[in-house]
Amino acid sequence: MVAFLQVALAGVVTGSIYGLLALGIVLIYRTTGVLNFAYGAIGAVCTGFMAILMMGPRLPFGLALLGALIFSALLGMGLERSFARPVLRAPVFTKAIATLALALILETVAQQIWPQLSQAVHFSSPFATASVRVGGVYIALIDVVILLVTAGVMVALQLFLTRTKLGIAMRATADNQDAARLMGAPVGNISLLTWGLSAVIAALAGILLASRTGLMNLSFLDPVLILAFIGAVLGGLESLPGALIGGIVIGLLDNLLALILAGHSLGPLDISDPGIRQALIFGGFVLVLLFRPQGLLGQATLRRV
Amino acid sequence: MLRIEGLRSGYGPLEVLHGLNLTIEEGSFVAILGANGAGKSTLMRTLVGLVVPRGGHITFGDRIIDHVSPERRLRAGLALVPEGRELFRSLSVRENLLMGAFTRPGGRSMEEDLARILDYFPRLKQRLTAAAASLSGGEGQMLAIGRAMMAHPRVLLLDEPSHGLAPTIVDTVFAVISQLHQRDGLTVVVAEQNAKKALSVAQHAYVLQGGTIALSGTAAELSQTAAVRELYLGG
Amino acid sequence: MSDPASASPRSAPPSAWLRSRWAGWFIAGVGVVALLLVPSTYDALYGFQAGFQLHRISLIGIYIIAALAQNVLTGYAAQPSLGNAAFFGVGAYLLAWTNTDLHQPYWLGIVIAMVVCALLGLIVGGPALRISGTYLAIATLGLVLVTQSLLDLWDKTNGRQSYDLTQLPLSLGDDHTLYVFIVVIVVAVLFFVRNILQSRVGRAWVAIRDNEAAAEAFGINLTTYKLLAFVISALLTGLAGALYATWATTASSSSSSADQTIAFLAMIVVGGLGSIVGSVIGAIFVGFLPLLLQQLPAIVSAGPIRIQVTTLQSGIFGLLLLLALIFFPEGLRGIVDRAGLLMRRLLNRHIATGASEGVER
Ligand SMILES: Nc1ncnc2c1ncn2[C@@H]1O[C@H](COP(=O)(O)OP(=O)(O)O)[C@@H](O)[C@H]1O
Ligand SMILES: [Mg+2]
Repeated sequence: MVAFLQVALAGVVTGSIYGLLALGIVLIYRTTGVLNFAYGAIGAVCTGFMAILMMGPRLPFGLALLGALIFSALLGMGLERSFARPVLRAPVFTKAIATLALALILETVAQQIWPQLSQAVHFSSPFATASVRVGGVYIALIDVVILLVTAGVMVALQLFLTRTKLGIAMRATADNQDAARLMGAPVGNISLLTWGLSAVIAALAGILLASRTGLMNLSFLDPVLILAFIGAVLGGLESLPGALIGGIVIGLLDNLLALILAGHSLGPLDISDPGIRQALIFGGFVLVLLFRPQGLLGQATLRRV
Repeated sequence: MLRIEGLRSGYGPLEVLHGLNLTIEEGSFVAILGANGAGKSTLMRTLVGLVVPRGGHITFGDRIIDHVSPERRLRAGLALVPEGRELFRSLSVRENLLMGAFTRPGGRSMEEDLARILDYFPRLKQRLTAAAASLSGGEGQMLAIGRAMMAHPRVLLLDEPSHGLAPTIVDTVFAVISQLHQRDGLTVVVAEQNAKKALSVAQHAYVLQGGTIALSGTAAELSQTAAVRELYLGG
Repeated sequence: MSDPASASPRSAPPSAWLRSRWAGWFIAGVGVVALLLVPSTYDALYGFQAGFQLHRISLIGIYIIAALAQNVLTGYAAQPSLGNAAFFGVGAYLLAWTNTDLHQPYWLGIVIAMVVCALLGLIVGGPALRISGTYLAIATLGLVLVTQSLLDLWDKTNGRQSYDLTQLPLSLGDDHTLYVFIVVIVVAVLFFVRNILQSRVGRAWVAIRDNEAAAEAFGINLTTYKLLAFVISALLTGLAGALYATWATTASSSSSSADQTIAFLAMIVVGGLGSIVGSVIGAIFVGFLPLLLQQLPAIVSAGPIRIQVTTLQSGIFGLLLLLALIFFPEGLRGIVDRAGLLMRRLLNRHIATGASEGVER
């Protein structure tokens, strides 16, 4: 039982990171219709910036974090102006492939500026080794931090989007941009804010993951990004809580399957292999979409075809 | 209140309005009639600044507003209920109304405004937390009007408020518009294909044809004009 | 009176021959001959390195087939599927299996790869019809990842480091022969796709893409035609995958990666959705541009600044891709269309002036 809890908890923690990334993906998709394949690169560049701040000028963790978050907000807004604007009116696939190009550019530029980040570097964090005990379960401090930050981001975002004027305007813009403009909402600045906000979330996800594993490089979020995408679609692509839940479900499944399949084999086939696990998860995901083509929390809408 | 002189407007190479002249007195109820494609929506969109005019002048109060942004025109008191309602479908009724007041300061006065507007629309009051997508056509049109009213306009422009509604619902919608006009002293401009209905509530009317005003007069006069009877009132 | 244009019964405009059937064949023929001459050009250019360069050029041909397959599915039948790399990988592995383990003749391996992929296309396409838009894209992307995991697993359970094709026909080991072989297949595939698109099937796809409800009202069976698109696309991608295994002399699970499948989409987006020419241009863009960038000098120095160009390659590629998308959001085929229009106009004027001189009395 304790082992099960331990594993489930680990699943929720990794899932939270997928969920955070999924949140940012959905945020941008809803407001600008961009399926952002550069999202991992954005998070990695911001995490890299923080690693550099800690390695170079030897800033303490807190200051470096602050620096990285400010950097991410600026990067996100800069990308909105330089990248998202010019492709805004392009067809949806063109926009998606453009983000792919953006990812290549971002990674190359970052590599030129910080060549040391092309290899894995140590990412130190004050939560690295400590752990707390809850009941019979040991939880690494970093895992507690991840859960708290994720919950915090979700709650703050939800409050912002439903309780503040600007947040409601943001949802209104995502829903009907022309009407939002008619109401006098600053549609351009809202798009700027969306990109800034989602870049901050990418940075947080990257920093949390790097703090957990103690390592990072400029492509360390690429494999995670696909899982985040799947989490986002599983949750319904339109719904922020859905995105978070979708991400957590993926993380949880991965860890639980690992526990269940461990040490078993089917004839010559070693089913504890991570490949089997992945195949099961992706296969399950496709099955879910067959029965709920709009994801778990998405509503069947007639708009946005 | 609103004076339009020699207005030319359109989209890209296509010019739709070719030098339009029109005056709307403060506190009046004006109907703009015209067939499908006559340019009624283009006129409405040009008035609120969604389409940039290529010639002529629009004077609102004592200011020329040709190059004023849509947001500033809204703040100055020019609000549009767009064709097809254009609601925020995934937002609640209440949130739609709040969006209408985006240009206004928040706080206590906002809640008072909301209560005042909802008095006109008892149906909406019952469905405040429902998603706008779940409203019926009539309720949706009410919400679109209420949303525009939240901006405290001095002139309310409505683009085909009867479109797609059953005749009894059309009557209700126009009754509400008349109420707003009478009780609040609001200036109202309705663009309509449904000439019969529009002429029954408006004081003045203009007929838009070929990008200019072809006919104008009081609603009573126009209802008697042979041309209007033939074209729009079915003989 | 002797003017041939005015004498012809339909009095076709001067440029009509350019659009006529025979001109099409003529241009295609010239193109094929030119392509077949490429090897000798390379011999002259690169000497003993020619084989190596040519080998890399052959890859573009394989990409062209894959891009055509993606375009049939996405650009014509409007199914935004990101699943094609699954068939690409399966095609490669099937050829490796029949070739290396089952010792079957090469051509049989190719046929098996195509047939099995077509069947898989049918199996995937059925359920895929229930999902639309972005959901379909990510769901099929999931399918690619499942395929990759399973292929990996197959390698692992058999203790393989790599799945090499050991029984390939010797002639295909020669870069020149391989090149000609691929050119011939690409031309055949182009011909096949062009004919399908001009047939009832192609018209049905376009009708469905432009207005699904209207197409259905005209009695077009949506399910049948969409499924057909999945099947044909899978079949062609399976062929491309098998050729890729031939080209690389090994099958690897990276053929079924997210990167690979997105690359297929990138090809048709940058080239032009719903266009044969666009597929070819896109495949060349994605396949040839990196080769060109590799030809850049490794280090550029301007005064004290030394720039390591080698590490910039993927960034430059990204930048060019982005610029192409910004300036040609409907695809680079726009350039070709415009060039064609210009040529036709020039030709018209030329012929017109020639003709008017001819009829002067
Ligand atoms: N966004 C647009 N872009 C181009 N042409 C438009 C646009 N909207 C309307 N038009 C054209 O302008 C003309 C007038 O349209 P509109 O103002 O909508 O007429 P009405 O509202 O009276 O039916 C029509 O010919 C229509 O095709
Ligand atoms: Mg209209």
